[in-house]
Amino acid sequence: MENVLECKNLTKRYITKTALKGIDLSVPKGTIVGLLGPNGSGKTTLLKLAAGLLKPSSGEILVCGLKPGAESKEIAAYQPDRVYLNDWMTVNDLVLMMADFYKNFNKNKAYEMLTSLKIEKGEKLKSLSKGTKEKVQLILTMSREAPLYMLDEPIGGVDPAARDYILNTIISNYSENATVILSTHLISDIEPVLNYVLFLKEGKIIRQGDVDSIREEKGMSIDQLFREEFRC
Amino acid sequence: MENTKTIRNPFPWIGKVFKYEMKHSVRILLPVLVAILAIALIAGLCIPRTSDGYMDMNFTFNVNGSENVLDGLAGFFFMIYWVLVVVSAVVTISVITKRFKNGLLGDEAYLNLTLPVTIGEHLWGRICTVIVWDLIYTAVMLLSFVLVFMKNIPMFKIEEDWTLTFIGFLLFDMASSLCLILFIYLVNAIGHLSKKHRTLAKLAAIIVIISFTSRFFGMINTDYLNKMYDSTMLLYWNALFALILSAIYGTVTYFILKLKLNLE
Amino acid sequence: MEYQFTNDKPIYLQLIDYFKAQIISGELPEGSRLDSVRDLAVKAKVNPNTMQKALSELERMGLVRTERTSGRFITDDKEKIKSMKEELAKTEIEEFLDKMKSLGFDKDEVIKIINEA
Repeated sequence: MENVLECKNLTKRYITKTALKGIDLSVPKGTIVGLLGPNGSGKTTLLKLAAGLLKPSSGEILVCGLKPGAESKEIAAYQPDRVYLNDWMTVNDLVLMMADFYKNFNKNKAYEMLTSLKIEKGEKLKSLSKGTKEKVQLILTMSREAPLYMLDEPIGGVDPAARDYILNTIISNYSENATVILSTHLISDIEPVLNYVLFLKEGKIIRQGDVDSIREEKGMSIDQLFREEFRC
Repeated sequence: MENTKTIRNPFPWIGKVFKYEMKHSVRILLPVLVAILAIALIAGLCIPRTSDGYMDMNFTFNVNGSENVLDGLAGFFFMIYWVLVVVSAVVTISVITKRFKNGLLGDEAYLNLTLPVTIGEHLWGRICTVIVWDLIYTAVMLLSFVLVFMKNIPMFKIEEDWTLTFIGFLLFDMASSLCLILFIYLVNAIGHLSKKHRTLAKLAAIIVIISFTSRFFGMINTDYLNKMYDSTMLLYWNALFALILSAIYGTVTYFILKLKLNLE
Repeated sequence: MEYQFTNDKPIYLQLIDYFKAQIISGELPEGSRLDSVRDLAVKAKVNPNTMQKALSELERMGLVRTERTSGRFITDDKEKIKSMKEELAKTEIEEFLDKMKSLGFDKDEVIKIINEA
């Protein structure tokens, strides 16, 4: 399986607007991908479709060769752009629950990461600060040994220290057999980490490709290119 | 492209959903049930016996001019017991339906729908939870009854044909509880389809479903069955109807949840 | 070390410059062992592929060598390091002289200012 995510003429329509208009893309394995676009461009919609939380209006989407559903959810890891874990459960409860539902969840890895951040297993999630909650959530997502990780705005409203931690975790979890897709509108921070980008504007892919090739071809950084192409 | 279609085995997933739903609901429901048994025990101990061996249900404070505190206490606990019975029923129903609303339509839906579990498995896991809680609840009710009326027990005679009625009653109780819960699920699911007029939608749903259901089953129930069967068999028939209704409500709820995925 | 990347040059080339600077300054002593690609990538906050590209290029230049079982090492070829140092210096100076020229100074004037500094 060479491509971890494939979309063919993927469209998602709502009553009031069309979020995605005929998306065609393929993401190879072994890449760290930036899904870049301003707010409202359809990044979250695209990731939710891949995560199986939404159904397409038309077109096709394949996650690790499978249509999004219970099977693809077992394999690919998704994290939404908010804290979505049950507040009243303890950190350890959540680890055990993840291990229960996901065969590819690595408990030891999770405990290691929690220990290195000095997060107490017995603490209830609601007693932790927002930043710590986000780190716990990321740890649980990255403790899955998945060929595809989809992170929706993982560094969005997050303090710089947490941002560093998140990027470090993504880099150190990198393997040629895995792909991380992260959506963001903050490009300069993460540009050196990406090796593939997808530019999404008003529901359409206006550019996709290898970071180095684009930088060479355009003679500018991705951040600069982004500002140019998305100028108001 | 690998396409070896392996049929998915839903049972372990239903089991997992069931496990976590039970875990979550036990925290609230278990104390309530324990409280019922405790009160029942106290009430049962306090209620005095009359001269001919039966329980004295008069509960008077003043007997022969002197204050009979124990008797009054017994009355008090007896009343509390019944209050608790009603309260526990309300609490159980509200906990179960709140978990459904929250888990598949509200805050926890994000987490639950991200899990590798199909909608069908989510529903069946919750249905199993309802059935189990109903069994536990019924058992606790029966036990509490025995405790409250413990002083009467030796006088109790169980007639033979009571067993059939008893089982019929149990089945009817479970089927109608399931039916009620699934009805509430369905109303909530329908309500959730409309973002702005949720309450209106729910109200409309309640009216439509009840009128449809009663019209359809009213026809079958009254004349024909009343003539053909005695009251015990009626219990079994009504249990069956409740089961059929449950199946209908459950199926419609399933399709609404699936449809909702498209709208969201 | 804080890695600041500019927009005008591919990141892997900038990483090579950083490595060269660290070898010259002694921060990465000759013959010393390098961390794994992953750890280096985490430190620099870059994609591991990019770091790999930089290391492969450094190896091609002879500044880094790979021992199959024990990992990557900075070369202990002093001559190599010396010539790299000289080459870097030459590039800097040529750039400096070009800039001075554009400001209107000729070579003798520049040497005079340097001697007085």
